[in-house]
Amino acid sequence: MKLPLSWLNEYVDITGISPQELSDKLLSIGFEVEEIIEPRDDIKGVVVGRVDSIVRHENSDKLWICQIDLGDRSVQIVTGAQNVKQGDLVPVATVGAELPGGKKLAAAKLRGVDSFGMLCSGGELCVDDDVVEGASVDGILILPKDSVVGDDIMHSLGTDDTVLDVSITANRPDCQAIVNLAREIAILLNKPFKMPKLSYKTVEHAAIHNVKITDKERCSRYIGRMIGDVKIEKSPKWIRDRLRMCGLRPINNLVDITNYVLLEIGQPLHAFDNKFIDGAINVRSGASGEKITALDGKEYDVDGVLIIADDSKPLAIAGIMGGEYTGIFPDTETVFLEAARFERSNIRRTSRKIGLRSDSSSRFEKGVDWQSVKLGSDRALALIDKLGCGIIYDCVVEDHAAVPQEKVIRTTQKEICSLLGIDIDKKVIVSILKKQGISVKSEGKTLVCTVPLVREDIDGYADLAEDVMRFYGYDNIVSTHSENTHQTNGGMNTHDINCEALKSRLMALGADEILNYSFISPEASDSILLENKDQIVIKNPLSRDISVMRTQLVSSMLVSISRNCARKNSVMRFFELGKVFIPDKLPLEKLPDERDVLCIGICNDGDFYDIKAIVGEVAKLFGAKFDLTPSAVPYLHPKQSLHIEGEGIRGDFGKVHPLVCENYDLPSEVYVAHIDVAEALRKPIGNVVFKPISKLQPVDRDLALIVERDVRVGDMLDSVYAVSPFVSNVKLFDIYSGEQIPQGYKSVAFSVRLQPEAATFSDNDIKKIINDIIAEAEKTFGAKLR
Amino acid sequence: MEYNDILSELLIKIEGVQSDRELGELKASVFGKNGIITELMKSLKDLPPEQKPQAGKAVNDLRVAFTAACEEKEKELHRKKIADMIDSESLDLSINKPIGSIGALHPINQIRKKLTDYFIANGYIVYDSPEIETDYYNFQALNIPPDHPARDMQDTFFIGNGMLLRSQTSSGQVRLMEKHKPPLKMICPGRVFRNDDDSTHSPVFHQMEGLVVDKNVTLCDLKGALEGFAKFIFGDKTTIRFRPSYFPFTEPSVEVDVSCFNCGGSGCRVCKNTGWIEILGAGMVNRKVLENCNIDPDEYHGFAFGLGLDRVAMIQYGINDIKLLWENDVRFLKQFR
Repeated sequence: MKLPLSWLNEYVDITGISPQELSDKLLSIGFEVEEIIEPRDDIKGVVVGRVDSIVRHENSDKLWICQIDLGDRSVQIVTGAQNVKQGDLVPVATVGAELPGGKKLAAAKLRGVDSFGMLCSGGELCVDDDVVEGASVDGILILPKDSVVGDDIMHSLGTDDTVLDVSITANRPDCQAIVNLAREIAILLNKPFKMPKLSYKTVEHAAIHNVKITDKERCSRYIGRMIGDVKIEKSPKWIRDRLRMCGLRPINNLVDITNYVLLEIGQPLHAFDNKFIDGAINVRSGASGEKITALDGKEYDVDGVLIIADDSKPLAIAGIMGGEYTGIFPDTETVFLEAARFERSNIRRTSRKIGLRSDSSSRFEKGVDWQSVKLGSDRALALIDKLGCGIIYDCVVEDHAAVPQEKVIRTTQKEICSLLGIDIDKKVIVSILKKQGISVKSEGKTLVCTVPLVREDIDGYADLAEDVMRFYGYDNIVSTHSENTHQTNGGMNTHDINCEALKSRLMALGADEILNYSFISPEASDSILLENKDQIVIKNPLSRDISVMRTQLVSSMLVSISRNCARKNSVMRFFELGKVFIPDKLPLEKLPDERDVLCIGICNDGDFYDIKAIVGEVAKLFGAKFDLTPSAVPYLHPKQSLHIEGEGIRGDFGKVHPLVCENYDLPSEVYVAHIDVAEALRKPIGNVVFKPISKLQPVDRDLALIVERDVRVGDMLDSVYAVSPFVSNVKLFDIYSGEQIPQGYKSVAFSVRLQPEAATFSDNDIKKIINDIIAEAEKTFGAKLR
Repeated sequence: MEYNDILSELLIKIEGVQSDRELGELKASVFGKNGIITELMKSLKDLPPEQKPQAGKAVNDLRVAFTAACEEKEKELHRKKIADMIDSESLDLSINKPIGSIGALHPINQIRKKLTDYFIANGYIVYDSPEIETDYYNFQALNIPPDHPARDMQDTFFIGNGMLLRSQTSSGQVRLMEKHKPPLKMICPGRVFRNDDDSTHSPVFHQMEGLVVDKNVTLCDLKGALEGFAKFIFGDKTTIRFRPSYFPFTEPSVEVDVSCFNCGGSGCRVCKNTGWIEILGAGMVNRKVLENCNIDPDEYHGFAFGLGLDRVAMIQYGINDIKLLWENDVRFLKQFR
């Protein structure tokens, strides 16, 4: 909320306190100043002057010689402007003045005539019509008639005030009003708080319209007042300046006053032109088929929406916007002034439903209290009276729901302090609460606190504790170490322990962890040739690119690799351990299954056998056994991919399909693995069981077998282990085809380590095992010893 | 005399030996079939008996001395061979060879691990909570009824049917307290989502919720817990500051600032000249939240806090652009090995 300091100063004396100091103090009671908007300091030495005389320059067709009254002196200025007349008030840059852009003004001679300064245009002062009317005309800025000769132009334009942009937390809607914020500051500075003037003269007049609230759930109070003989004109400068500083556009005196009260008291008001109201005012729910054209010129269906209606038509969408005929017009004679309290959740819901917001609705959404309805109405009337905008009729029409009761909270000093952990004297507590308008009565040890209606946020002793601390000072909270609480056992859960083990293993394998958004493009699955289904759709995504919850991690992995390649980072080994979201049914009826998936991506950093080895190491973390079968996922190369199923893991890995590589602009050497590890992460990883190490020397034998070219070497070598329990290791060292090997065959050379257990091998023992190995390879794979 | 001359001659020959082969030849000429010492041994038997012992001793001395000299020479030749080998193995030590890379944990997860370890050591359990949540756990149970203005504080992504992407890890508080009763000490780290994307916000980010519920828990205990954590992360000299704020699920609520680790509080670019860095929100658990979880708020108090892991990571590592956290650029990731 914008808080102009001159406005604040009317209700609490802040002279001598710098804006920064005030910001720091506001922070200590829970109001963060987001910005201190300082007045402009790029203009110096420019004052308001009156053109006393203006005559033609003898040696020029275009120049004029003016005598300018600056209040304390008179100066001669030569100007080339053609729009200045005698008697005009104009901004005068005097000798030595500084203008925006760092321009400094010196005395000059123009065609032989001395000129001691310059008359300024709006452009030269960097102001536009929003600041002062006429600022954007071509020529000198002619200031309003009520400008004061000799006044500094910044003051005259109302741009010399410092404004604090204060962030108000959602629990303090009352402080969306300058007076209520002023009250807080008065307590903070220990200074008196002055209430704005609320009194006004009235004339006797019978009520014209009756008021009835049909829907008291959504509107709990409505006060209508009448102002006759209104003169619609421009507001005085001080009102216009203040509205502008707070980001509102001045319109006319009546509308400006309602906006002024909105900012000052926090009460939205609506001024209706009385001649369009037909009969009694009814606050009711819109009927089926009812429509209203609002002040923004658009038609809204108000079926079920809370409206202000007269006998024949809807007049306004309650608390949000008036209808097209309900505004204030230049010929408006009588005004019906509405002050009401509309339920905040209804305004919020309605405003979103019909897609219409206004200053009024955003204020109502935060919550307006019972009392400010009357306060706001009275303040507006006092201003109307003060400015002489019309005659205030004494008739008041009001309807309301049951008058709300002030909350009573019974607590004790001990209870408040038990939450805080420090001891605060009872007298101090009572005094701080009383300053905030809470009445406190002591009944023995009990404090009976009656909370004013404006403080709807206060519900129990915890809220009182907070309000005590705000002014007692949070710096008085000391650090203690839960000495009076129980000892607890901390620890990670199985899932997190396993995640850590898995990540450690991947890092040891040289992979960097990456992170990607949990939502992706609905087209992402197309790019990896998957069918686009079972994706949970976000109703209000930031963009289509990130509008569905991911069901796989591959597409994001490929995007990351592709982005790196585009940046000439050509080598990478990545992993992401993240969640995918698998719905039971769409649209979602219950929370989806959130499954942990491991995705590995390798680019120019190894081949199929590398990713196979990495996946194998990952699988072995959870259990020694896993099965590899042909893979059928579409994004993998059909000849270089496998499906893996192990203990709690299931997935696929291999080379990325060339078509997918094209979609992501990837080099050809990209390999990915996509493994669902959800089950594996839930079970504790078993302890290692130590196997004794034999003290006997192992025996190594090399073998070269010739097999047909399409024999699966891995399978053949695996089969060697089954031949004898003494085979402890089989290591491939060469596959060769070419000279000396028949066409269509290959030679597979490998070494076998035999580990004796009880006694050393005899030559015969070794020979037998080796012969068995050859026989088995021959039987199953058609192998011949080379 | 004769023997000594022979020895001297042999020693001179040994001196001149340059290789194992030459030494072998020399040895053969001494101990071989017709070798010098072999011949001397043979000649002993022709000597008169009274000279035999003396001559025998002299020949043996000669043999022993020559053998020792040979052994010495062998060692010398071996040392020379090693020295030559070493010489031949000289390398250009300035060259660097790339080896298999070391993988790095993402910086956000490094911070997450660091903080998790700290809180575990202080008796907290780590609790996981779903990322797609119901409106009840994300809002209502946390004292944020439908149409409450506090919902505006968090731009939420909605799925429909009362489900949404959790906008805060605070949802974990309720899920934990429904299942477990005090004393409770919990952290709940994880992803959260908000409909917000600009130079300082990412629609996905990471929070760590903390919750302590027990008898006699106070606001001072909250300060102690957070001060301990702040010192652990930002250094022993770090102090923290509470200032009043508002969260629907805590009362009183505070924003917590840490003294700037860069300038120590005097004001610098890191702390935008305030001397303080806003780090997290916290407060005493609102009694309505305890009631919603069937915990008696008159018997138990609790404190809760929530901090942004991405923000802590950015502050800790001096990362100046939030986009870097999600681009997965190798040059970024490799810096965190």
